[in-house]
Amino acid sequence: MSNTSNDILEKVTTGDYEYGFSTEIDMEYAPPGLNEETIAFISAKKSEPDWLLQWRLKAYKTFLKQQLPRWQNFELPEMDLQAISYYAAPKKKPELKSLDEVDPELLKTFEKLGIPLNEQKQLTGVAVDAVFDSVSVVTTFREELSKVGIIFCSISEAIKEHPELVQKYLGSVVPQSDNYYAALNSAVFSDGSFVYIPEGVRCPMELSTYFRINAKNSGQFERTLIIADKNSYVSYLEGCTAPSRDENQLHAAVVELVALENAEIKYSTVQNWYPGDKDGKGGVYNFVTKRGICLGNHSKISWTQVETGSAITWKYPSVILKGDYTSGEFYSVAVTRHKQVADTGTKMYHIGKNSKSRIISKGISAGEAQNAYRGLVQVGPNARNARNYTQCDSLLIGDRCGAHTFPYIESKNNTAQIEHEATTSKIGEDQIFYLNQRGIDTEKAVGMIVNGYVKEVLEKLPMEFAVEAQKLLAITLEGSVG
Amino acid sequence: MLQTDTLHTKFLELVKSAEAQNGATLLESRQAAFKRFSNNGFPTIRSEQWKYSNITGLLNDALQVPVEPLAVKETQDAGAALLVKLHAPAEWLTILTINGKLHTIQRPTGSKEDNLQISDVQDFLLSTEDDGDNDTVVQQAINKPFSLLNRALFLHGLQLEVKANSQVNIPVHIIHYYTGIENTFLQTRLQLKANKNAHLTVVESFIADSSCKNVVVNHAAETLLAAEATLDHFLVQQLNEQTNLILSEVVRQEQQSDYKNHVISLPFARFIRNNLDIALKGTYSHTDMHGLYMVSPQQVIDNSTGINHLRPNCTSNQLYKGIVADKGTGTFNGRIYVHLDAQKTNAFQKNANLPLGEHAVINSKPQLEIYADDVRCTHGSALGQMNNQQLFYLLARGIKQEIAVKLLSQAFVNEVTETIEQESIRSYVADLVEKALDQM
Amino acid sequence: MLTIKNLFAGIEDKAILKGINLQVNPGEIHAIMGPNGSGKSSLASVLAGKEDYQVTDGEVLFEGKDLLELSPDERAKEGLFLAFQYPVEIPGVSNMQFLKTAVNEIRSYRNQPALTAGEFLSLIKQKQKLVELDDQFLRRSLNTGFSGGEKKKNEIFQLAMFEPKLSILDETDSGLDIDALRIIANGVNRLKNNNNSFVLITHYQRLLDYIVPDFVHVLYDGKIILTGTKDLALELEEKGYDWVKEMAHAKEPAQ
Repeated sequence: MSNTSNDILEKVTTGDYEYGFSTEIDMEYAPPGLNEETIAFISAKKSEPDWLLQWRLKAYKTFLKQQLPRWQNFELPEMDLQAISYYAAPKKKPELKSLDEVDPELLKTFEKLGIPLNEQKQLTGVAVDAVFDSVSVVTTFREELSKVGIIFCSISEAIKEHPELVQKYLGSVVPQSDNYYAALNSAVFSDGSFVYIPEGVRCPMELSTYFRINAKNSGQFERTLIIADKNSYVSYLEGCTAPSRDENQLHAAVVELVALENAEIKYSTVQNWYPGDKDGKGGVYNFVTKRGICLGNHSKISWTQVETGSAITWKYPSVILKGDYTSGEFYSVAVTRHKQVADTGTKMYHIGKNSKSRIISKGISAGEAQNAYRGLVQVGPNARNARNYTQCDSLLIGDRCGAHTFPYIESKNNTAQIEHEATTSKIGEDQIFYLNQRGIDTEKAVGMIVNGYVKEVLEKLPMEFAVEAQKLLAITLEGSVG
Repeated sequence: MLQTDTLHTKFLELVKSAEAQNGATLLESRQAAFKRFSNNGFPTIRSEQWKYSNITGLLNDALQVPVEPLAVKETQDAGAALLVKLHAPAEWLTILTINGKLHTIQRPTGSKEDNLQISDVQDFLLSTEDDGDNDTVVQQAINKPFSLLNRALFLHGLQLEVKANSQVNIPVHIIHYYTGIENTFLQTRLQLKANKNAHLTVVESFIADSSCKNVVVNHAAETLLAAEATLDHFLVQQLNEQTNLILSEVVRQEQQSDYKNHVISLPFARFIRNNLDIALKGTYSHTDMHGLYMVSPQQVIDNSTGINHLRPNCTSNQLYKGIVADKGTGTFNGRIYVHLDAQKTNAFQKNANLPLGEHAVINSKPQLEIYADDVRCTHGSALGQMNNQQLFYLLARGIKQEIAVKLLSQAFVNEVTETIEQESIRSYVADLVEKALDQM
Repeated sequence: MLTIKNLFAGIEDKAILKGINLQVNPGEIHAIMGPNGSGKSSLASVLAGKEDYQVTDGEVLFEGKDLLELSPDERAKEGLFLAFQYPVEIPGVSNMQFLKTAVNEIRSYRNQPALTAGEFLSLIKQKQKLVELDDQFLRRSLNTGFSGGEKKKNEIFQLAMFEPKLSILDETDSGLDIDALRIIANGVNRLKNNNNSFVLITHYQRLLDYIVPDFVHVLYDGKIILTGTKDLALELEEKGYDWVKEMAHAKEPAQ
């Protein structure tokens, strides 16, 4: 690409982060530090039952034995876990009977983020659980949902009101010992969402959680648990933002999905945590463990993600295909620019017979960013007739970024059929020229080509969010094109 | 499992006995290599590069490291007869080593090939400029554990060098023949050097006979292609369940050189590991890598390859195919690395696997690691049984199931053997592959 | 409309255009013919601003403006249209989305308001008849999976949508069957008026049976060596290019 177009690329990928404002609000913090006292403090603050405190303490013991992963191909910055406050909540009582009791500052914050919490103002057909730092602020449309038996609330409430469900499934998909950050989360998780869809119910609206990190020097450790009982269906979406701060913030969530017989869970993420500035200062470390299990036969779990934010994204939403005739899907768009790092992908564990999985990953790397697909397709000895199709494409915009593809294919059954394809290339100069010749400038041309490139994935998002995601991509790439 | 301490004792013995023969440079190199090896010792399955191959059983306590050349029974006269027995094509220039030691050189009548210099360990000069090579990938490759161990402990070495601006017109066939040795951990070395604008074709056959018991060969090769050189290199591995192989080859290519490599791993060794690292260090160079691995029951064949594009305008093409029988383990771990200077790289990589038995274990890990933007890199991996429609078509034409399966397996491997341009080499390889298919 | 003066251009160190002079006035149709490798398509690419080419000498004025100073999209917005010989495929970008963006970009450059969805649709309806394209293709990705004929029709359809001042058709006739050729030629004839101009780049005379040029130029070795009327095209068809080549060499000073 010539210098002029490089200049434009440069401009397009250096746009600003839109959600960088912070909210002044009276907060209550746990003293910084990670130890048993902190865990007891969190548990007490949330008036948790003793079994959960014991569960947390056990996780903490596991955590102490864990080591930081070392296999990544990027430099993992040192992080002082003792300097973080593990609990930060607005002082006003978080459990509210109605919206009127919510601190108006909070309502304004969410309004500014485009997430009005007032039910009348909302997009119809979307219920929201809004999480601000360590606590769930409000969950909308609860009553309407409860009429069909759907439980949609914060996990703190679920622990109190539906202990039998929480106790049965918490940690059943992502064990405490799974990895360093999952163990940490299990010990200190603060809040998150809980969903239960009863047998035979098709959830009538999109459920969504909106996460906002606001407080300084704190981490967000949310925990989400979604259970879809037999013959049920739910589509769930999460969105996230954080203020622009110079220091890095840690986000180490755990999401567990359980699909029983013939149930389907569709989980979509639009991740737009603060990515840091153009020199790589600040930004959220997004180290997340997401995993679903297709427990019952004929069940299905589908992950869709649009990743544009965070200084480092490190996550592999996975599916354990335990039942027969189960299906797992992973659709991903990851855009990195400046000095962002995204190392993301999926793991598909084929255990049941006739299980199938499909992986479509589109990575776009600009500036000095590094973008990696890392994935595993594993077929166990008894998983007869397993099928997988994987396609990973990477697009490079600018000559200082990197794109990497690390697929692992492991099969122990001869009836498996696995196909993996990947291509890495520069954004098409001939495509840009064609659009230029039709009067479209390079910046817009790049936006168009990229949106076309990721279309297959965006189409998997619920309608309302697909449009948002498209805009987000355009904004994210602003200033990265050349 | 072999312990580093045991090896160290052997190392000291070796240094003592070799002192008289080797110069100071070589001793220093051995010492440095052993020191680096001892830092990490043998790799375990926790290492990313070795996660699919556990070598603790392979490197058992019974293994001994020879500190002086092993005795060979055959006399010089027996060499020619032995070559006939080993089916060495008479029209090639043949170099026979027995248990690592150079034994016979046989030239076809009328052939001179005086542009090719063949040296054995006696006048072996450690002429590699390894330590002066600043490319990180080259350093990483030559510092892998088995390469280091080989450098520290090797007893035998062979060096082939072609003069600049000349061609060796017939294939040079190196037969590494292993016979009559027991409980041996053998280190052998080969250096190939094609000077500027030279051409060479090398076929290496690794052949073990049934008199070997509990043998592990750790073979290391360093290959250098100067500018505009072309080298066709074939590695044909015919081992048995008592003789196992760990092979490490590091290839460095200068500008406009062309390196073509075929690794044919035939079944029945208990364990074969092929480490191949190619560094495209000069612009407008090309690498072709073809692999065929046929894995019999209980056998492990593990391929670990790296194609490193370090300079602009280079191309590479890789095709590795595996047939894996019941309870065999076939692994392909191939990385294409494109350095940020390597603009205009075009790299293609494909791995395909055909599982034959119900519990065939197949691991495939093709990788692209790309730091330059003006590139076109593609990889693919496919795993699956034979196409049922093709099978049915053959059955419907009256062909027996067994034969139909064989025909389709044959078709699967042909994609690799057909890439061999030299007729005599293609038929030499194809015959061996066909026989192996019959026995699988 | 277009004035090319002594234009020299090439790729890297290779000279391709070696002193082109050409004047195109409003309402004129020019045909540029010549043997393979004479520089016909390079001329089109240089005029459209393809970055691979470096202009080493000469001047190009388009409606009085220095064309070579403009970026490719500015040239398009000024009213220069290139119908590509090989239209590129852009997966995932629908024809509809592409057209809407391009039309409104050009309108905004001309200080015209963006078209409403309704206006845009009726414009499409009106123009698509011209090249006999069905609705289906509007939803498909730009040129993706199109046959050769469909791609060329799409180029002419875009020409109709954008109403450029000067259109350069780069070998639009190559690879077309007779029906497609007729459709495309009809489209061009109906779009032609006294204010716009066309430059047809072609290897064969065939297209000129349908679109009658005012001038025919023969390009050889980077220079226009002969200019005539439609009859010249017929003469070339009959005699081939060899006599023109000989003529060109005869003009060169003897060694």
